[in-house]
Amino acid sequence: MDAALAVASAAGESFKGRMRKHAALGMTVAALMSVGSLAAAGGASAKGTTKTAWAAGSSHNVTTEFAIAQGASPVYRQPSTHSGVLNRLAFYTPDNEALQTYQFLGTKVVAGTLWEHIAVPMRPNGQTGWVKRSWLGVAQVSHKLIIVNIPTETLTVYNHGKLIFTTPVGTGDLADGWPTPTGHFWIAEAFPSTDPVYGPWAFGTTDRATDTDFPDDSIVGIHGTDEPDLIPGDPSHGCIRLKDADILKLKTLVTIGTPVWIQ
Amino acid sequence: MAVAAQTHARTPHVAATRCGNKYTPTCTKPAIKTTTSTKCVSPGSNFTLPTVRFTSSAGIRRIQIREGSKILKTIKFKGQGPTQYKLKGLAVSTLRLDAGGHPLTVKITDIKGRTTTKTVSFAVCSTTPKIVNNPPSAKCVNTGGKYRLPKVTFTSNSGIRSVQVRTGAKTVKTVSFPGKGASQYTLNGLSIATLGLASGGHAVSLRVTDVKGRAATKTLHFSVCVSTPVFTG
Repeated sequence: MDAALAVASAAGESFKGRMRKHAALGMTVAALMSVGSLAAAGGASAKGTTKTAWAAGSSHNVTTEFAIAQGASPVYRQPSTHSGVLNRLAFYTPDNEALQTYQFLGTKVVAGTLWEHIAVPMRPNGQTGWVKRSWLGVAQVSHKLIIVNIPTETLTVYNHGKLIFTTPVGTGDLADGWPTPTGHFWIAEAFPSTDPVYGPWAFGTTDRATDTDFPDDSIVGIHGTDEPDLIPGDPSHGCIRLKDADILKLKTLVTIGTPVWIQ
Repeated sequence: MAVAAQTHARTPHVAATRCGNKYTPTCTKPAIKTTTSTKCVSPGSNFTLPTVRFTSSAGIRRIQIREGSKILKTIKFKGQGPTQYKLKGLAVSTLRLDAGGHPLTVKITDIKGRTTTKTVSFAVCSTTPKIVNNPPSAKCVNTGGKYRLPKVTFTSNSGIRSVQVRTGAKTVKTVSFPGKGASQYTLNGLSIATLGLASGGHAVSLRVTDVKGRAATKTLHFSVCVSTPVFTG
């Protein structure tokens, strides 16, 4: 894949994760940097780096960095306190099931201050903003990747690009107007469920469903089910359902911060 | 005719550069000249020794700079050695030094074994204490379970007087250090019971106070699992 195609792919995505694609992409580091500076176009005079590039069907060997907030600081639309405020950093996810994580997209130094380009979980999906690096905690790293393929109704987990798990899933009901929104998200919550409808374990993603009737911003979850016969299929209002044995297996493989690409 | 005693000693006619030979048994001791800075040095940064001028009419054999018993620099000269030497820009690390004054001993030895020492003092600035923590787990804690605080390190170059951990109004842990206090204290994996805490978000307040009464605070957060997802199903 050449750099120009990578630019087109990146621009077409609703989410751009700071992910380091490895040699299998066939791109040079210089090309990646070039993609990044285009993707993260902001204050033109500032120095910036973005390691952003991927494409469907290419390597799944990605490294993702994320962190939690240090304070309820504003998230700006550009790396400047004079730009508009997109949102504020949150300590907790909308349903308080976890500390809110923010995925890194790239960095830029503006007037001696290091700014971090981050993905912001909010409606509509795919929002990104800028915060000062000091407003976020220590970066944590994930080398895993979940891909949910809606047409094939499967969920696949990669670790350092190596396929380690795949399972059939139930997804959102397109015919009823509740498709699972596609894009690049990550796991924001992981907790045991006491409600049989969600099976024994549930992950909350940063994806927001089209069906907005659910409380706490209608989070798209990945969870078990009390209706395993509907898997594979499209029985949900947007969530990704796994059979209980499979969600318990997935629980051991991924955790908060793991990117989830829904395509 | 009587001969003056002064004439017998023959010293008045000997040049300083020839001091130390058979005509000059009372040669002068070596000398050290320098200045001292009144400004304190930021902790962790280097203290730069002001220019030090060493002179010896007999010749310099050795120059040594010490910080307590630790030798920072030794310069040796062979033969007669120079009569003057200028030491400029010697950097002294303050990385492991407490706040306050620290003396450096500067010593010169001439070829006759005579020594002169001088103390050059500098001060490391006293700063407010610091709290550094590992990233906390974003995952919620099961209801009734224990929240494991990430590794937290408290440091103070003046000395820590106390460390306190609180959740809401409840004090979870207090550690006091009498006397000069500790320069560093680490809490590694402190468990906090969540029994009785409502599901959802909670804050843990960390506070460190140094011996000068200065304090630093930090708030970490954790979540108690709600356990009833409200996802879109």
